[in-house]
Amino acid sequence: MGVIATSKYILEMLKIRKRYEVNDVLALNDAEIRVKQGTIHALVGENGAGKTTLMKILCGIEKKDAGEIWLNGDKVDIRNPRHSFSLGIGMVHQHFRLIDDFTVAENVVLGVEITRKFGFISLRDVILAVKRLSKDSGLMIEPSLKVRELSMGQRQKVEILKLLYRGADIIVLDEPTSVLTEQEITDLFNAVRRLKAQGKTIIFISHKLKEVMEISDEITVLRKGKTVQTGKTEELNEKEIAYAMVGEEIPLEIKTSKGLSMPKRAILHVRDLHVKDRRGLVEEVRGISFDVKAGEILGIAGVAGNGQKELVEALFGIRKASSGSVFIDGKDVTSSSIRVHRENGMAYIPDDRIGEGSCPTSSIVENIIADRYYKPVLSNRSWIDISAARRMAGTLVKEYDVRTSSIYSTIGMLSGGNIQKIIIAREFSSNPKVLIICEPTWGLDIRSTKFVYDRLMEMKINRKAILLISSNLDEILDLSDRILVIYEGEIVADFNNTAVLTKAVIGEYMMGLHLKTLRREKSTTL
Amino acid sequence: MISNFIHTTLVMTTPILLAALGGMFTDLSGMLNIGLEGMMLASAFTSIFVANATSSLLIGILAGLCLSTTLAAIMAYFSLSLRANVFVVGLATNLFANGLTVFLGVSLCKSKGTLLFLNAPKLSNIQIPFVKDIPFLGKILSGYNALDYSAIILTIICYLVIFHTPYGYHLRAVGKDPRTAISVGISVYKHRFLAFVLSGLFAGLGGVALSLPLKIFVGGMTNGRGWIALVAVVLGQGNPFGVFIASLIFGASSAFSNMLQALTDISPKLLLTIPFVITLIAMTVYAIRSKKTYE
Amino acid sequence: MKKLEESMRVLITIIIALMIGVLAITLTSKEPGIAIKYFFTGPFSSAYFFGNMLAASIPLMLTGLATSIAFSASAFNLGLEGQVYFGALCGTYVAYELNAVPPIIAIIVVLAVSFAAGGGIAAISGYLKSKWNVDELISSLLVSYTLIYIVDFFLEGPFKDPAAGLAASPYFNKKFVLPKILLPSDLHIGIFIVLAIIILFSIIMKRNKFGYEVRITGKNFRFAKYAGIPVKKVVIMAMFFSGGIAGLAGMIDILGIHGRMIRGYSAGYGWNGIAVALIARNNPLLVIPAAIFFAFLQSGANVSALFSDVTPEVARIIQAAVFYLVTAEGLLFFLKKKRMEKGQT
Repeated sequence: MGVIATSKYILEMLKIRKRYEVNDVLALNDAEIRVKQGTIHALVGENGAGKTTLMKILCGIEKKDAGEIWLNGDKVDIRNPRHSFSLGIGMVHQHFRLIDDFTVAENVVLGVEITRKFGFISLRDVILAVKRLSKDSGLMIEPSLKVRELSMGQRQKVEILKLLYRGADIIVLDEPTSVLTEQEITDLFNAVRRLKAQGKTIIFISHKLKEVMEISDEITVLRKGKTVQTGKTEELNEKEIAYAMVGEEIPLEIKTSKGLSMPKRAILHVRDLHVKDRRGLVEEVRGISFDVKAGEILGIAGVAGNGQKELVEALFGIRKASSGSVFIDGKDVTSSSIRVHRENGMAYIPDDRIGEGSCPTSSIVENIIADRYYKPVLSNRSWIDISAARRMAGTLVKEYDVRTSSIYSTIGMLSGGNIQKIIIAREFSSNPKVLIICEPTWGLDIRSTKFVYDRLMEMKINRKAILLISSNLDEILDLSDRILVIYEGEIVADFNNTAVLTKAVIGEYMMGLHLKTLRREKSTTL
Repeated sequence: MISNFIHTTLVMTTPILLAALGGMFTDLSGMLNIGLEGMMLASAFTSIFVANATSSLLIGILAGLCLSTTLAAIMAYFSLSLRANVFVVGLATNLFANGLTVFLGVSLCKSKGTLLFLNAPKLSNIQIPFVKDIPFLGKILSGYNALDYSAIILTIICYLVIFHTPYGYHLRAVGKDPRTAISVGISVYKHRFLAFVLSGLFAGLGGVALSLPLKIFVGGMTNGRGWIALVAVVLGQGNPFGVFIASLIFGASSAFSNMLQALTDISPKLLLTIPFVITLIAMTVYAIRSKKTYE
Repeated sequence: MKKLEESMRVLITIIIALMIGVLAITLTSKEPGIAIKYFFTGPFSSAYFFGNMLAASIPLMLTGLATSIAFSASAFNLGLEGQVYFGALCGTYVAYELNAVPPIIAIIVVLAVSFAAGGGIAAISGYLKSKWNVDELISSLLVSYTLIYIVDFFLEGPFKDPAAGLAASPYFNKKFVLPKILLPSDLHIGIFIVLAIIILFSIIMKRNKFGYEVRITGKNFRFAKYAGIPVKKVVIMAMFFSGGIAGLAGMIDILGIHGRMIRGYSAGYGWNGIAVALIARNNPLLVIPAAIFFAFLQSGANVSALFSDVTPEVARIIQAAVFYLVTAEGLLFFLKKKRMEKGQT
């Protein structure tokens, strides 16, 4: 470490400023970062602090308004992604930039293909080159597989290979652990350390402090587009960084009421549910059964893409189940329409707030009334009672603390937290018996997250049956009374959430290690 | 009889196939080119008119391609640079081509109906030596005009370009996932623009194949072929051979309609609906089989 | 501010389109001065021309409205040409058969039939889309092509008036023809029917449950579905109303002006209706001036052709130019949409 500390900076970004004209947000305001050659440098901050924007500027994806970038002691003006590549900079985005229908090899070489006579691509050469690279870097992966067949961890390897293939010296990883399991995270950290040993410089974007402390050599903290702290990891502690990130102390503890009320009566019954994919070929949910009791939060943990989405959509009637049944308080709703689900007391907060949970180009009023516009409270024969709708929206906006200038604002203009509040306002105010909630705090800041948790606890106290689906294990552990683990469309574990349950244990089941043994055990205990 | 039917099928396929190959490029780049019909029409008129005026096939064809490509470039500029809705610009292209050809027909040829261009050089059918003498097969393989043959050759070339060259990879990447393409330095704008230009060239050739062999032009003579080509693009799923087979189905339905007109006294108006009905059925069957529920 | 900006853009569109028209006339006319003068002033020079212009705007108002209804549900109805034509044929046939029925009743029945006929065929495309995700844009167009041939078949054969020199149906009872307003022009009371329909739909889109469902479904289909709106039904119904209104467009024109069905009489109503809806920004009320503007272009060219050497086809160039420009003019509209999308990420 001492040796590295004396070497000069490989990258300096100074006084970077960026304003998004479209929504007039000052994303970066004199942001700075100085990175030393051969180190792992963590860039931390809350959501929306400008971490990704700063790195997009480095990669030529966004243009800066002001500021300087120095690379190896030379001032550079990065014009576009290609230029950034040629300078040896590469980035693995949070949402992978891979083409599902192409093979690993095709993805790795995309944009820098090797051609032979007449300008044709030689697929054999490409595969050989990728194989060699994969071996050298220790990122083992079969080049002829299609990306759509890969796990998230494998896809990430492809992304890193892509950068190495282009000769990247500075590798930016944007929230690399957000889609990985515990085991995959360990693998990733090993790979990152190996790259560092080979002389690569890594910039590691994250808002998870534990990871940052574990992997990084140095840390830069951004808050509201400004660099507020920087230094060696060993000289900083978690508390200091957390304070720098937020700028004030926020009590992170959640008023959980785990085991507070003893839930008895099951409201949601799911029996041997099978769901096929849209084309009807593959079974995404393979025989899932569980109950959710009134006043209970049942958490479903699992790596994204193991059938959670399909399960939830089948529960809510968005998809048809191929077999099995769903009961709400004794009523069979398996093949009912979404409206019937809602009328029988089911509410749902989807993970995709903008694509599914709201209509971004409509007003708050129109979003609030979407599930109830036809009911007698809001309508008179076939006409909507506009003033009743206004009153309802006004009341809910106040009750759920939505920050907006008017109930006629189109909600796409609001922040993510406020959009989520409106969705919650609509779904919670429908007086449901069963609540299904997916990734409720994804991308929200700490304050909004706390708001969501508090409201959720309120619903629990009001004896709603709550099904929580989240890829955030902390969230699952903090909130749930009981935890199911889903793997490849099956429930592989069922835990009571007690103090002895750890993330590591859940993580093993999430990855499908020792499937059968426990399942049998569970089925006997059930 | 059968060989005749196959021969007519291939001839009827040519304009649709050419236009569909063009539409395939825009489709691969992630845009739907509604303007194929208009591009075909514009080129059909211009090529025969210019060929007639200059007595040169080549100049005629080039003039036709020039206009269709210009229309394509305008479409690309409006939809890519001005961010106009690509469907609407496509409709504008069709309407403009329709209005322009009628207007020019009236202004330049002083006639509203069928325009005859008797001075235009003939696009002759090529008889392949020896092959033409093979019984049955000779009639199927030989005796097409240069455009018919080039449509087949272009299908093969398109296949090689799309699946075996960097350009093809980049084009498909742009269409499948533009953000990924951008992240590896592939310009979405450039590829889409070029795809439009290519679609203009191909659709233009398709238009030429309508008017030149017959030496006539009639207002709206494309008669939905651009739209049928668009369906062929969808059914072909981005593969030139798939596009070829889909075009062949529509070529065959036109040939069938022609044959019935010659052999029966069923009203020609009713027979003319056959290609559209078949296209609609093909599209529906395809949709059912791919089972994409409407989202 | 936004309103002002938008109206400025519409104005600029119109001015550029007219300049293109002037250019086209100048290039093709030996006496451009006279031609241009008649082009601009002709439609207003007499009650006859003025009335004819308004009469020509009637079907465009309806096809414009038809487009905007489908589009509000995010569906493209490109089959208007066929729906107009087929609706008119069915209506005309019923009018012919109802010879002895009192005019008021007959007219109501005839309009209902043409509405159902146009709507029914558009609903096929809506159904195919809802059921199997068949692209409604292409399917409606293919159905339209098919129907145009079928209608032509009837007009040339089974339903042809043997006495007519052209392919046309027999005349129906003269009493069914809608009263004229501004003689000697073609303007008829159908314009009031049309205005009433437009106002009705404008209110429905804003205040009615169905209007709300259509708008939400059109803006975000997944959200609408998730909220419990019966989206498939909504799409089919939106297509049905769109096609139905197109059918009315055809029939009101027949009832008001022709008194019988003539082959090809409605060519262009559908396509121009799309342009009208685009100029009107999908706002049902703005469809009215937009349709009159489109009719003005055609009337101006017609009058000009009467008094000078230009061809009436020059109107088609100008109309196409408007279509183009309206897409570019949409720049603002789409930028705004994009801004919204970006603001969220």
